[in-house]
Order: sequence, then structure tokens, then C-alpha cells
Amino acid sequence: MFEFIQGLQLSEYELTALWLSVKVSGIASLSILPLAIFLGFVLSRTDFIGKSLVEALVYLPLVLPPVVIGYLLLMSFSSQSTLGLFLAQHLGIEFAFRWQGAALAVAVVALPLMVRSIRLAFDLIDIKIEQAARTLGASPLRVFLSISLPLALPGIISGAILGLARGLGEFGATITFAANIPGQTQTLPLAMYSFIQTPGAEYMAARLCVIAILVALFALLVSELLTRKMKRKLEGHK
Amino acid sequence: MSYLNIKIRKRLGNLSLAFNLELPSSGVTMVYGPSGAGKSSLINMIAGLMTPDMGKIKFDKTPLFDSHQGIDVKTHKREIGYVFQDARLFPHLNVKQNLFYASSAKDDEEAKHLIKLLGLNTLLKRAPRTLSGGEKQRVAIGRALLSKPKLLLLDEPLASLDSSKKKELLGYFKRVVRLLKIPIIMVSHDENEAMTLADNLVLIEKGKVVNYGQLESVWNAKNQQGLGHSRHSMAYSAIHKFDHLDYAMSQVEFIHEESGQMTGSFLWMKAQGMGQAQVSSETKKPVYNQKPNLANKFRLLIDSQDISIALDNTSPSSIRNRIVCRIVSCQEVGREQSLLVNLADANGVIFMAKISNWAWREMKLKMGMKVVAQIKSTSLVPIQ
Repeated sequence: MFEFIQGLQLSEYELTALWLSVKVSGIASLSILPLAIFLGFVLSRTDFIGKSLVEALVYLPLVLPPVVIGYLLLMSFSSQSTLGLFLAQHLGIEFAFRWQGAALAVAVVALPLMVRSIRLAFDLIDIKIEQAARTLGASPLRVFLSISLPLALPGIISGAILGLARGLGEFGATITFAANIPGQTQTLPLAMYSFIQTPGAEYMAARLCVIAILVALFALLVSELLTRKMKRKLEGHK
Repeated sequence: MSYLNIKIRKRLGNLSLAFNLELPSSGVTMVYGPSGAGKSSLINMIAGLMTPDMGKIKFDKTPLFDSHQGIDVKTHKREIGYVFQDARLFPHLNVKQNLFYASSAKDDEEAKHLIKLLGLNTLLKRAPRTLSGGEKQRVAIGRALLSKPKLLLLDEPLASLDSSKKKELLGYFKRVVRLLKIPIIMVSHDENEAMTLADNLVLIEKGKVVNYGQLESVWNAKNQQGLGHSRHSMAYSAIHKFDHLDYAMSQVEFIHEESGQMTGSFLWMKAQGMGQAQVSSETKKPVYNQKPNLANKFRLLIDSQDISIALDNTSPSSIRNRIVCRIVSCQEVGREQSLLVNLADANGVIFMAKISNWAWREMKLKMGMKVVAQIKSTSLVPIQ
């Protein structure tokens, strides 16, 4: 019995990978959330020349092989590239082989999912409600903050959690761009990959697999719960 | 004098709109016409929710839109209130938050009075979802008015309600309209709404303004031409003079549309309980409690089918209103085999009777002929 409970406890190594996964994915999703809301709103409400191109570019990471994204990030942000050099010298930001790199990879992969969900939420708001707000003297910014944003909140939350969940599972772009360094860029999937590569570590891999499933399940449940609660609140239930 | 100058064009699919209008600075103007005529487009362009292709809109000397000068004031800067057909309350805010959404809305004595007038006191904490259609519309009206607009637009605010709710809301409307000093433009295709609330009428058909001006004259001109639907009626302003005690009848006198003066022509109708005077059963003469007050005028709609024509009034009749008139004009109605006959009484009040071609021929009626217009008093109902 005692052994079983002890078996449930996470090892230092597992905790590091789990914590890194949560940190990388959490920071990445949170920091691209404003951009995702902006893009979702713009794509939902405006019409401009080249909109289809912008749309295609935003959604591209959804269909690109993750290794391609990782490769492109490596080309753009490595310390040899102009942009990477500039960021390192002037802002002190380095991506390659650091958790920041993993976060950037996650951000690129998670963004289209978030934008899709948020855009759908804005699409579902009746524009007529926004018109009514305008006739009451509300500026476009106030209409956005007081009407559009609150009404789209369930969609924004579920989009953010979807992005977070996608980020937790990110593998291809991360391993290509940020490599597989324990404590730095070795997130849960990468750690699992290492175990699979190591002969005799099947048990460890299976444990990580269970953890990954539990974390994903938890994220989805929280998302569902929050969305439902928000919806009820927006519809005027207490 | 005129407050709102509109001269705009807009192409909407197959319909090309061309509105040319000058509206007064006060009172209720009803934009009236069949659905699809462009009524809502007109007020959407006034509100800035739709952009005209070209032209000008000027409100109180301030241009709101001018295609030549490139002026297009944004909706939120126009200070024009708008009550939509579908209320459009903010679903995530409660009634009170909806009412005070506009940053110009203040919770002062005036606001309290308006909320009371609209019967919203008990609804303040409720969510829009839980309100009935009529309640939603009342909140929408309150919300628009609390933003202190300089002009109020209403787009068929009663259309989505059933008839009993309609009547109830119309009552609220009348109270609020009386209180307001701002001009109101209301879109409608409901005759009763127009008659109850409007001072002025704008007739729109197929994207064009057919006629506009003071309600009675526009309405009567339209009906005298025999246009539109099969029912043709004449609108009058009238004032209650006195009640007949023995027979529960009231005498009302017509008021001249333009000058607002008494015309001297009167009708008997069912007692309306507005008695300012009563006829004593002994003397058979009216006893006035007070002089008739011109401010108490009401509107009367007489259907042309409720007026018949007789050649003389020598033989007794059950019909109480028998007015000696001359035939002034006559208009055929579509393919109905009937005629709209305009009759003028000694004071110049025009009545319109719908009669069959057969009757016209058999009675040998002619222009200028002296006849008697007969109106059953029970068919007369004041619009309230």
C-alpha cells in the first residue's frame, strides 16, 4: 500500500518537466492572448485588402509540419541571424536552447487555435447590439470594452485554454528550435520522447503518458466549466 | 423652423432611395409606408448606421453628413437616440445598467421620473432575458432617452408585440412623448400608431417621399386620391363639447387642421366620459362646466365606408349625424366599382363617403350638388 502511494508521487525529474511544460505553455498563451483577441476581432469585424492573406498567414502554423515551424524559428531567431543578434544585443533576449525559445515555439503553434476560437466568439455577437451601444454615444473603444469583449469572453477563455492545452503537447517545433535540454526546454512530451529513446525506461515513459493525459483532461474540464459559467452569467443568470 | 434637412440618395439592391425632406423641430413625425419602402433605411442614415451614397443631412444647422464636403459624423457623436424594433438590450447587463449605459446618463430626479413613468422601478435588477417583449421595449426607450439625445428615432418599436401589449406600450409612449421636448421620428406601418402619436406624417413608397407635412392634411390627401389599401379614411382633430345625459352621447366639434380654430361643425358620438358639460334633461340645453379647452383635442378617424349619402334629410332617420354638404370631388377606386366622394359642409369641413357606382348613377349625383352626409354615431371612436 505504502509503495503504491509512493509510486503515485512524482519524481524530481517528472516535476521539473511538468512544471516547465506548464510554465512555457502558460506564459506563451498569456502573452499572445492580447494579440489573439486583436486578430480575432479584426478578422471578424473588418474587411480590408489582403485580409485573406493575413488570415492564411495566421492559420498557417495549424497545417504546417511543426518541424518546419521550428526550422523557420531557428533560421529567424538563432544567434547567427540578424533578428536574433539584434534581440540579444539590444534587448537581452535569447531564444535558442532556452525555455523562452520553447515558449516562442508554443506561441506560434497555439496562436491560430486561439484566434479561431476568439474570432468565432466575436462572429457570434449580434452586431446590432454594438450598433445600439453606438447610438448611445459609446466610442468604438468603449463598445469593444463594454460590449464586444464581455460578450465574447466565453469564447476567449475557451480559446486561451485550447491554446494552453495545445502548448502543453507541443513537440516538433520545440525540439527543432529549442532542443531537448532538461530543466531548460525539456517539457513533458520531450521528456517522454527521451524515455522512449532510452532502452528500459518504458515504465517512466508510461508514467509521463498518464500525467500528460491527466493534465490535458484537467485543462479541458476547466475550460468547459468556465465557459458554461460565463455563458450563464452573460445570459443574465446569477 | 425646420430642424432636420435631408437630401440623400442611396442604392440598395434593386431599390434606389431618394429622400428629400424638411422636418420640424418638435413633435412626432411618423414615417409611414409599406414594408420594403425604405423607411428603416431613412432613419438608419439619419443615425449614421447606414451611409448614403450622396447628399446631405443637416440637423439644427449642423451637418451630420455631406458627401460634397466629405462630412460623415460618426454615430456615437450624433447625439441621436434610437429605439430598435428588437429592443437590443445588452444581455450581460441588468435593466439598471442598460438604462444608464450611456455616459451622458445621470441618475438624477429627471431619470427617476422617467423610470417611474415607464414603469421600470420594479424591473431594475432584472436581466433582459427575463423580460417580456413590452418590458424590453420600455427599457430600450428609457435607455435611449437617458442618453439625453437631441433627436429620438424609433423603428417600429411596437411591431414585435401582440395587440394587447401594443396598446399598453402605446399608452406609455403617449405619456413619454408628452414629456419630451425633442423631435421624434418614428417608423411605422400601423395606422393606429400613426393616428395616436403623430403630429406629422411622411409618406414613403418605393424609396421616395410621396408627401409630407401635418398629419391630417397628408393623410387626407393620400386617402382622397384613393391610393393604397382598400380602406380609405379621413383624419380629423376634434374637441369634446358636452355630453347628452339622457342618451349617453357626446357632441364633438371639429378643429381646423392648420389654424387650430374651432370650425363650427360638430358630430354626435358615443359618450366618451370626457364631459365638460352636460345636457339637463329638463331644459334640453347644454350646461357647460367650463369652456371647451383646445388643448384637449383628440384625433378622429372616419372610415369612408361609415358615411352614406342621402338626397335630403326630410324623413326621420336613426342616423344621428346628418350634415348638409356639397359634392366637391369624386375619385374612382381601383377596380372596385365604387367611388370616393368628397363632401364639403357649410364650414368647409370635408367628409369622404365611399359609395358604389350604382348608387351614384341611380341617385343622379353630380358635382356641386347639395346632399346630406350621414354618419352613424356608433361608428365613431376617438383615437386615444
